[in-house]
Amino acid sequence: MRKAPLLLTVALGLLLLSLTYSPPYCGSYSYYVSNWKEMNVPNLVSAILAGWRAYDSLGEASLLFTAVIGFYILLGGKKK
Amino acid sequence: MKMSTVVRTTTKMVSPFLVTYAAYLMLYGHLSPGGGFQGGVILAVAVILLITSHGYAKVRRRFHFNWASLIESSAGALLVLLGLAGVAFGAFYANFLPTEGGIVLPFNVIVGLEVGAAFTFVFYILLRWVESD
Repeated sequence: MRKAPLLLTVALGLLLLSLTYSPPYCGSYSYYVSNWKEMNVPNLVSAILAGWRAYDSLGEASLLFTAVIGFYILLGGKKK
Repeated sequence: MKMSTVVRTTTKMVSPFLVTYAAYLMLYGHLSPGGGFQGGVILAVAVILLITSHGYAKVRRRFHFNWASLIESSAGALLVLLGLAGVAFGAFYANFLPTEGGIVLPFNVIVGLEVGAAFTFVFYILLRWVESD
């Protein structure tokens, strides 16, 4: 019975090793790389998160804000 | 609730460096790896470390409950205002600053402050709730 997890691990490792890791130059990736210069930011991740997808980051921040409001409403009051 | 002297001294020494690192991650997020969310989480960890080692009652006197609430809500409002300021220049979150990166730098700083204050605030609320028993 001990052989099954080992076999699964080795199979998963071989599967991961056999994949190609060069990024496909298509879709949004090619758009980001070719229009990188217009943001004037050397960090591509920041350029995507705070530039093109700032609307997404606003949603993320408002999600956290809503969670905090929920905490404050549920547990923030004085306990009797 | 207090921990031993070694833990208290170490956390006192480490947390200013954590705040410095958080400020670096926020201010240079557009040049090097980092960004608002990561910087904010490290900013919150600096306070949470002090809370776990020194206890909530002592930390509360230096970092007030209302400050965390004020920073959290004002940063949330500023984030929306930054987007609305872009409307005057064409689009929501339009890049209107002529500096390097434009609005990415203020965006990262505001998101960092918001996230850091939010996590600290949640910890404060939970601790207040637990200790009010």
